[in-house]
Amino acid sequence: MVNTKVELSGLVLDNPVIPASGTFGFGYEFAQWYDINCLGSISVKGTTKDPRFGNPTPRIAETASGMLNAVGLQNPGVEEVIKTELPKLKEVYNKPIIANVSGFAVEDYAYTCEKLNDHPQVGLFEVNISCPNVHGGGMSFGTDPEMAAKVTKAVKAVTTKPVYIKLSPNVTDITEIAAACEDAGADGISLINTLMGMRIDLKTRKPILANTTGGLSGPAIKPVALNLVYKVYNRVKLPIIGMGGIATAEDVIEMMLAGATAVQVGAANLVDPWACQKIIEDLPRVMEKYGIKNLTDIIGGAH
Amino acid sequence: MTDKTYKILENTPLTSDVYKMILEGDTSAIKAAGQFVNIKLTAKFLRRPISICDWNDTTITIIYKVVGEGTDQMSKMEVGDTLEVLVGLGNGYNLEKSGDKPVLLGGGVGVPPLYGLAKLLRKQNKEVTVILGFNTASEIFYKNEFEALGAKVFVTTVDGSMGVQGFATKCLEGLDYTYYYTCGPKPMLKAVYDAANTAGQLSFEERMGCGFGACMGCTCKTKSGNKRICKEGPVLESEDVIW
Repeated sequence: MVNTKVELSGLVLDNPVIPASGTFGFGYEFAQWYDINCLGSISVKGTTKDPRFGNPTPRIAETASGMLNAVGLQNPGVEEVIKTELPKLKEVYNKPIIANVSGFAVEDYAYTCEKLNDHPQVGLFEVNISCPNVHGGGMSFGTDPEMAAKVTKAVKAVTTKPVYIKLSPNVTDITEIAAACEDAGADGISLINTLMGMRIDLKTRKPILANTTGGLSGPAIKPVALNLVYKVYNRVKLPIIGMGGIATAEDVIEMMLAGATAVQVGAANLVDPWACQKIIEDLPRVMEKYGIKNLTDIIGGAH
Repeated sequence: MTDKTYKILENTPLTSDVYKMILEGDTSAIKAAGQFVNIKLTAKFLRRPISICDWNDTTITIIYKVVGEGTDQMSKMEVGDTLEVLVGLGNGYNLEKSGDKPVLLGGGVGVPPLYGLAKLLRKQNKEVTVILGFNTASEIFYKNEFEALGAKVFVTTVDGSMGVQGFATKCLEGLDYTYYYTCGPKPMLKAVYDAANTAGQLSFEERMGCGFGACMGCTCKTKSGNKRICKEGPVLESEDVIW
């Protein structure tokens, strides 16, 4: 028997596989298709202080081995998330969830996290300072070490649960940002958010996405994610949630070898709604194949 | 929604770039005409959403236009080949409001889902009028199939090479109908919405990520709130549409 359990700042997960925010809604819709209690946890749809419609369509453009999205944090706002979405998820999922939080000012992040902190379903915060698809917020906090530290401190001040900061790869040196978050009291780091990209329609001669640019995800970005997780693992002592192009059990192990304690599966969910379940079912077989008894033994094993 | 393997029974061209494919497999997830399937192809990362034209207990008929690498790969597949397909996506058309004399307006590859709809409406003995809009005579398909259902069929072509010259809405003028159903490019939907003197249902197209409601890639604003074209759509009631 292999052991797939991992631990994120005291939160024990049955396995390291977590659907990534924005690719799984608030989770409950997937329960029509399989028992989602097999998941290590769920990073729910990015939540903001106020309701957001998001960007105009087209919001999606395909790329080689991946896709661009510019959804723009569509969500019903934290009050509605607490009132409607989390109770619906509670009916079909009995494990702690990861609350993914975004904002447009430091106070927004603190407000939303404070509202969610006492919610019994929330096991951990993932603070998104890396959304490339919103203006005047999102990624602008994640590209400056000082701003990243400010958000981290503000959220830590109003929460009692572990706070993971989700970082953008669209920076010169991601390890500086990670270190700033660590110094500011973050409990963990989550990376990578999507890479900024563009597609152009040859007929209209204009960008396909209404937002002009979008975030690249899918297998195309896995090598980038592995490299950055590897680097951040070298720089900080915090646990890392690794993501970017994860689609198979082999990918999970590769990401953990780079330094991740848990992994998130994003774009793969959109191609195959059963992707996470299949990865979890396949994980023991792949662990045995590579002689892994305890998954925790391989974290950072590539270093 | 189900994700299963389907065997290709037929894959034949109807025009120079429009193909009809018949897939054999489980069709139990299909609940209404106007729903769609989402097809996994090795050539592309995302699936290809294609409307369901017709179905029975064991087969699904789809009609698709070759517009890029994905549909090009589909057009080259052979009888006996298999495809991974998510089946039973979207809401589909609601028949309850049709009245006795519904009119169905399809433009180009917006025509196929209206076939399954016409079939159901004819089963209820409705007096069905179908207006098929194409650019030119060589693009016309399924005229005979609609006639075989017992529907009254008008064809329009933009260049006048067959049928009435102009857009599909031209045949609405003076027509006696109780409700409309339409599918086609967005400018056509708007023209139908403006020209019709009854309420109706419109099937919208949007670039999709997943096709089953997870990614919020295709959300639009309606008078009854935000709707995902892939989940609460693709069919919207005319009263709900915000242009």
